[in-house]
Amino acid sequence: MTTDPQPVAASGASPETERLLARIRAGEKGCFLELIQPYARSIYLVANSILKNREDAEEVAQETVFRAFQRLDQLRDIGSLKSWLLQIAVNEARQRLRHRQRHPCVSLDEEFGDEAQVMPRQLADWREIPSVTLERKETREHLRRALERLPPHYRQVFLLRDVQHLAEKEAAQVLGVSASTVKMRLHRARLQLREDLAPVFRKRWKDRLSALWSKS
Amino acid sequence: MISCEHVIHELSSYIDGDSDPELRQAIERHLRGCRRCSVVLDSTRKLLLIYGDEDVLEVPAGYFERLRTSFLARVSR
Ligand SMILES: [Zn+2]
Repeated sequence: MTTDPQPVAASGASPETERLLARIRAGEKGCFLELIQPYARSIYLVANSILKNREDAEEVAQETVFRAFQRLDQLRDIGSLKSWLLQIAVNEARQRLRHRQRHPCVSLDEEFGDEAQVMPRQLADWREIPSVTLERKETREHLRRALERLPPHYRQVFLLRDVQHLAEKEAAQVLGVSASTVKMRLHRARLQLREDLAPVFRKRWKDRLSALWSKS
Repeated sequence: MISCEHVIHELSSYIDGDSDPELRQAIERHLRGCRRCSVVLDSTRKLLLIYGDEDVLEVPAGYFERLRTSFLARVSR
């Protein structure tokens, strides 16, 4: 039994995932939710990175899950489930964006001129950031807003690479751009975010003082 | 000695381990002598740690439940 060749769609799948796939194929539609559950959050965040609107992003997430269910037989490798789902989310979100803007001709891949390299200006050390700080509502608001202030293309790349941890190739595929474009946008996104958040995370005199005290 | 501009330009690749070994060494030499670039590197790494923690960006309350309800309603039609 175990020596049977595996169907393509199940290569590298955990036994748990294979059981889920089998149940979905057998008509237990609700099992699809379990299959995508680990990525539900990512789907929303990616949609929101394009739409910057909670209600729209949520509707796109719902649409994405339904579409993915309908097209499950097109998924070639269960190992790429995450990037496959995110690609559907990106397409759905872009479609909605076009609709919302009512300018179907606006290119979504419009370049913003190849601006000269921005040299970092915020040069203060950052403090260590304990997880309690990250749990604070205020900190999360800062992080969310900084991300929203990024130009859309930078934001999407940053979200896929540094928040969702997709590989460069996967991010390129999901967004329909080249790997070198992903690299360039990611670099700029990181520098810009760093600049933007430096006032929030830089060492304050209080931190420096306590560091001095702990040394003595 | 490579310039600060060069180091900053390569920063992202350096963090991702994509720079070729020779350049990598040149960057490391530069960093030992340049506090400014060291701070930029260190803070960028901290930035990535912060955002890399999956739960730091929130989804709206009730999102998962609404996703579930909408899916079940649509597939049972
Ligand atoms: Zn330097």
